Order: sequence, then C-alpha cells, then structure tokens
Amino acid sequence: MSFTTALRPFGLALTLIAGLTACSSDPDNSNLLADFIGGKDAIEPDETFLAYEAAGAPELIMSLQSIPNAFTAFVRQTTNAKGEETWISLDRLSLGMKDGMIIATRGLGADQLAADPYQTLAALKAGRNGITERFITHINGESQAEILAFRCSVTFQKQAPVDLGGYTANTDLYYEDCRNTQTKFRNFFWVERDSRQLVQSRQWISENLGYVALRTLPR
Amino acid sequence: MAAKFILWSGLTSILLSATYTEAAELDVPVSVFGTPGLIDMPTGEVFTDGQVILTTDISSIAQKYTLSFQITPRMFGSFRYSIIDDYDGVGNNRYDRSFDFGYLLLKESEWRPSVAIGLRDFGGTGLYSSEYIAATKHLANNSLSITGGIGWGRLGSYGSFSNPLSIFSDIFDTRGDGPTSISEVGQLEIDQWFRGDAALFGGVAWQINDRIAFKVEYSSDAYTQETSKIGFEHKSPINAALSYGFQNGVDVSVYSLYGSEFGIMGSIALSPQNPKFPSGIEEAPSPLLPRQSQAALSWDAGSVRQKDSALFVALDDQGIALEGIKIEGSTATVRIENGRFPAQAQALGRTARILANNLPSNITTFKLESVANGITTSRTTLQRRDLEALEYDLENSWKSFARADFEDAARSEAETIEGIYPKFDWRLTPYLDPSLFDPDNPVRADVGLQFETSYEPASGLILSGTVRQPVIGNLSTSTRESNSVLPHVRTDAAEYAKQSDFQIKTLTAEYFFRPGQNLYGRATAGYLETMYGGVSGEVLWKPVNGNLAFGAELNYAVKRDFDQLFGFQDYDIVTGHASAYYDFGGGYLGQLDVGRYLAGDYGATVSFDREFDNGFRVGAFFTLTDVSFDDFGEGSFDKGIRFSVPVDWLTGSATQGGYGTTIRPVLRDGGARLDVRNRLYDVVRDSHTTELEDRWGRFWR
Repeated sequence: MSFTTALRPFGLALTLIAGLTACSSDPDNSNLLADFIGGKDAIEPDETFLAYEAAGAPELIMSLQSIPNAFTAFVRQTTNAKGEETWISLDRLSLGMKDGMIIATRGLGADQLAADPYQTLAALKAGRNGITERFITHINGESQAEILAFRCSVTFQKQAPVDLGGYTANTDLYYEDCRNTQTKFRNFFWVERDSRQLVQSRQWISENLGYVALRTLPR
Repeated sequence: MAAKFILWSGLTSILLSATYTEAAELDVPVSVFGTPGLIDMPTGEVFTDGQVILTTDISSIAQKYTLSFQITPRMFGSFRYSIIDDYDGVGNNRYDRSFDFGYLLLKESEWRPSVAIGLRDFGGTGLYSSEYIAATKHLANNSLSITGGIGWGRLGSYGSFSNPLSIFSDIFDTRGDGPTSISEVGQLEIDQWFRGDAALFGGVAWQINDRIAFKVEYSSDAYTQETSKIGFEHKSPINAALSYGFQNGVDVSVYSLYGSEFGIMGSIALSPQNPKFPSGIEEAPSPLLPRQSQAALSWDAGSVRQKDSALFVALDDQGIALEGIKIEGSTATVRIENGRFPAQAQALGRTARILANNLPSNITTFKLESVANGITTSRTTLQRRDLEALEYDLENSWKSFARADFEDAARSEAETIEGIYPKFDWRLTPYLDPSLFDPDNPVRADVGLQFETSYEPASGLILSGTVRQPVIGNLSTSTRESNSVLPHVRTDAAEYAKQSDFQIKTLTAEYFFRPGQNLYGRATAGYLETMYGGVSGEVLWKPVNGNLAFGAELNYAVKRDFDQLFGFQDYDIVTGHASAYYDFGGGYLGQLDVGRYLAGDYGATVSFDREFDNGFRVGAFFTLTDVSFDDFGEGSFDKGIRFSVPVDWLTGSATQGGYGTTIRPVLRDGGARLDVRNRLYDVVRDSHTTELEDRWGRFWR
C-alpha cells in the first residue's frame, strides 16, 4: 500500500510557518528556512510510524477542514490499561482516541489536551438519539488548561454507505450538535451498523483549528 | 512621507510582525492620541485587559505614534512620539515624547456610565499636558456610545470656566508653568494637574455596522500653541471621523479637525494572551507505552549511565541533555538541561514520559533535576502511576501539578554521565540593533551578522563570546555630542557605533555555582558589554516555592575603547546593587535595586513588569539617584519602558528566546547600570514553582 507517498503532511506546513533564519550547532535550532527555500516538500516520514504501519497496525486518514488538501495518515501505536489509544502520524502528530472518538490532539497548534466525549460515544454505540454532556480541555494562549462543557444533541440522520476503498461499509449517520454560551459546533459520525464502529467522522477540535475529518482504512 | 513610515516600522517592527500573526479585536474607539477616545477627546472607557494598541496618526498639524498598554483591567499607560513640523521656527521640527496614564474609576452598569480619569503628557515637555474625567454610556445594543467630560490644561482651553475644584482649595485656581527649559523636562508636573481653568467636552460614537463607525465630538482644546506657532486655524470646535475596521484587525479612520484640517489614523490591537498557536506546533510527545520488565528493555543500571544509552538518545532527540542519572531502589533521579522548550513544564513532561518508556517497570518514582547554566535549580518528583492515570484525564493538568513535588536541588543527587563535557556551541544569526528616539532622528539602526560561541569545559563554567559585523545602518550618523556634566558613562553610545567596524560585543568567562540551600552564585570576568569590561559577582537568594528573592551584585567596570576591540579608556568604577524581587501573582512582577551606578551616583531603580504566562512581557522602570535633575539634563531622571516577545509566541515553534527592546525617551549618564548578562534571577526562575505552574498546561503537550 503506497498511499503515504501521496499524502501532504500538514505538520510540516505548520512548522515551516515558524521558520527562522539561523545557522547553529544545535539541531533544534537549525536552518528551517533553508529547508523551506530548498523546496523540501517530502519530509522523511517518522520511523516509528513506518514501523507500526509495516507491522499492520490500524490506520486512519485525517484531514483539516480549514486548510484545503491538508491531510495525513495515522497508525495506532499503543493502547493503555484504560483502553485509551495513542495514534501517531507520519509527520509526528498524535491523537488520543477511544473507539474512533478523539480524546486528545498533540501538535495541531490549538490542541485538545484531553476530552470526555463518553456520553456521546455511548449513545452512538447503542444506536440511540439522546442529549449528552461533552467536556473538552484546551491549552489556552497562556499555556493553561481550560475546560469547556457542552450540552449536545445526538440525532440519527440517515443510513449511508461509506466507501472505505475496496470495501463499502453500511453506516448510520449521526449528528452531534453541541453548544455552550460561547461556542457551538456540529460533529458527524458514520457508525457501521453491525459492528457499531465509528468508521468515519468529522470532529471539532478548537476555535482556532476548527474541524478535522477522520476515515479508517481497512487493513 | 517616507520618513514617517520608516519611523513607524522602526518603532514597532517587532510588534507589527506579531500583528501579522494574530490581531485582536479593538473593543473601544481609539483617539488620535492612541488612547480610548473619539478623535481628539478622550472617553470614559479603557481597553481590554492586557491589550497592546499601536496607533499612527498623520495630519497636517502633527504626526503621532503611540504605543498603549492596558496594564491592569482598570489601568492603561501610553508612550507617544510626536513630530510637529516647524514648531520651533521654520525648518525646526519639534520631536516630542510623552506619556499618558488612565484609570477606570467606575465600570458601566445598566444605569450608570463608565467613568475614567486620565493624565495626558504628564512627564514630557508638557506640549499636550492635560487632565480629564470622562463618562461614557452605551445605548441601543452597544451600537451607540455617548461621552461627556471635563478637562483641564489643553482640554480646558476652549469654552473654559474657572476650576470647579477651587471649592476645595485655592491651589486649583492657577496652573503651574511647566518646564521652562529642556533640562526640566521629564519631571512630574504635579503643580499643573487638575489646576487652572476647566472646560466641558463630549461626543458620540456610532457603530453603523460590523465594519463602519462614525464619530463626532465637541472639543475643549483651543489649539492655542499651534495657532500661534504653526498658523493653525481653529474655525469650529466640532470634529468628525469615519472609521473602517478591516478583517485583519486594523482600524483606519479619516477625520476632520476644527473645520480646517483633515487627518488619517490607523490602529491595531494585539492580545498577548492569544498567540496564533496557543499549544505550539512542535511534534507530539512520545506516548506512554506499556510497562516493560528489565529483561524486555535489555536494561541494566550500568549502561544507563553511558552517553549512548537509549534513554540518553531519546532525550537528546527532544533537545533535552541528560547530564546525570542515579537509580536507587525504585527511584530514578536525572539531571537534565532543557535546551529547547520555552516552558520548562513541557520539558519535564516529555522527560517523564521518556523515563517511563525507557526504565523498567520496577522504577516508579522519577526525580527530575532542572539545570540552568550548569547549576541545578530545582527538583521535581513525579510518580509513574500518576503519569499512567492522567495521560488523557480531562483534568490532567492541575491533577498532575498537584501530585508533583517541587524542592530545591542545591546538591545534585544524580551521578554525572561521563563524557558530556566539554560542550561546544555556536550560532550565526542576523542582528538588528536599534536606537530609538534620539532627539535628532527618531529611528536609527544597524543590521549585520552576529556570531556567538560558547565552550563549557565543566559544569557551570562557560567561556563565551559574541562578535558582530555591521553590514548596513545609520547608527554612526549621529552628530549629537554629549553635553553631559557627569562622566560620560552612557552618552558616548554613538561613539561606539561611529568608531567601530568589527565589534567584540562580549567575551567572558562565567562561573555559576550553588553556595548553599536557596542560594545561587555567579562570577563573570571579561568584556561584559559594549561599553564596559571588568569583573562582576552576584549572589541570589531565591526559594524554589517562594515569591520573594533577594540579590546582591558587585562589579568593577572599566570603560572600553570606542572601537569595541580589546582596549580600555581611563574610566573605571566600582558599582553594585542590592536587589529585591517580588512576584505579586497574576503576572505582576516588581523589582527594587538600590546601589551605586556607573557615574558613581547612588540611588534606586524601581521596575514593574506584567508578564503573561506565555512569557510575553511589558514593563516600565525609573531610577532616581543623588544626581540633581539639573545635572542629569534632558529628561531629569532615567526611565523607560521595555517589552519582550517570546519566539514561540510569534511562531508556535518550540524555540527558546525572544525579541525585545527597552525604549528610553533619552539616554543620559545618571542612573545608568552595568549591563551584565545572565543575572541570576532570570536564569533561575523558569524552573521554579511559580513559573512551572504558569505554564503547566504544557506538561502533557
């Protein structure tokens, strides 16, 4: 499977914005600008990512809704005792996930430090509409954790086939409409009917970043 | 016109580059003075807490460039540089520096207006000297705001009446004269404040839609001096303006003044609290992996002390240098120097996870000793089980902070890893060396290449140097000769630019050490700064968990030759200070330095800074010494404002350091302090509890 070469990792794009011109003996302080001018589009994919990919770890594609054509691939690296998974991308970002639901992001510029979407997840798994509470912790501009609470409505929309590339999943599409006094957002979840797995979704991350779209890849 | 824009770019190039990354919403209308107001008149409002507002105003009467800062939720301060063509005779422009101050007395409520009191130009030449109390009420869903107020000084010069404050005392009847010569400039003209005749002013701001606003005012300023000196015509007290707010946060207004003139102004606000990338864009940390046994990691206590151990390499990959390690029972103690992350909390969080992934499961307690300039500055104790429990916990930030322990690490408990010294570093960068607000030319600057190198033969001993080669600039074009009656300890600054080419900026040996618990020491010898060489010693007392610190510094300084090479002039002085530092909380820092300054004068410096948790910092200081205001010369005493913007605030990348500058209205010889690098307070505090707590949200980042 060679789709990784076609990917446009966006972690790099963010890094290049930060490019500062300087030469130094310190590799962390090296000549980022030269990399940029040198047209180094194709970054070297992270070795850990490649190792897990080669070993057949579960994989997904994520794209940013706010930047056209910004997408990257993740593989599942580890699952802890609580069933919380860490997925890592070829451009060295990571996602905390629980059964397809994002519970943390790292490296997106306006990250979720942690999240508690478990009421919504339970509703989707059970295949029922419902009113849920969702909590999201961001890192604010002053490097402080800030917890937001949302009230959400999970509603079934329709049955929808989702083409996962060589395999079409029969899914139920759900909306999750969340709001608090300052913010509102709408997440989409395509839940496979038999397995109750989230095979595709659009999930809100933060005010600055907006939404990301996720799609699992069949292995 | 070109010169005007050069000034603007020089004054604020750093902040402006910031505004391209993230501009903030301007919540209140801004006057041509760059303060909350209509056109010429102030309003009874203040800016949003923490905002920095840059304003440029150009009319045929004057150009004004203002930097305002909302110091606290109620208090703002402004620094302004104005140019009035031909004010002092044809061809003699007036370059004027002024400070403003405003305070919100009452917040707006449903029935009550907000009320503010303000001083304009309270410590400059008095050109714009005036005081006001103004009230503003918002109506019609906040789209309309109505302001009325009373002014004194210039703001009490049109339609004036005798001072109502005279009912309290006769002293309010007459206004003091203000400075009579340039050497009196800079003092607080308290005998003027709220004295003499007063007048009423008022106006309306109407926000027509999201983008367009209309303002009209009745001005109480008669423009007496401009009328007599530059032929200004005051035809009407009514001014009007039309403003447009662009999507990028820039607000532009065109306005008419007194029925005879037009002008244009632009403002931009930025919020230090809101960088573009609040959580940074560096790569993700390594996740916590399942615990592994000693055998699975093929680990032994001996190999972990090698320079090529997996642990060493994994930390090195993060820009964290492992300097020492000791495994004792279930506890691992490591000594680390964070050469990358601006937030030490982030370096601690990454180190902790790397330790958990690289040390066998029976090691459950991690003690992380932070190192700065070769000395240990604090020890943070973390438990493996807390890391595992909290990695994705909704409240992982405060819980992990609460479960961590912080203590002094006067003596490192880790055993040094062999072969990490000597260390050698170098860096080649461009530099910008500005000189702002020289009375003849507001902006001078040199641009060139800078080479820095350092060599550390052993922990705490640093041999380093910085050299510069100017490439282009106009620092050397200053023709203003020092007229100071004091020893020329700073007023020769221009000579150093004029008589040099290749420059040795610093060339020093520094030694950092820990004399005892809560104590830090520094000894520096060599070419200390551009203008002085010599020796410097400092001791600091600062508990890891405290908000108070004391320091003492003693220096012997010899004035360097103007060519900035190896020679010295025959001026030498023993100088030194006792210092007290206090962190008031909420980001407010105070500092008091008492001692002897470079010209041999004795006195004290008071500094006050607001440092946002992300490191963005704005501050002000003044120095009073036994040099008389007369002998000091223009400005009367040393004072200034300063700011610094962290690199990661601008770019989001995990890079230490920042850009900053100090702006003095005028640089004189009184109250001048030696500029030694690496004063201990700033070296030490980043890894102490208060600063760690400020950025603890980054522990899990």
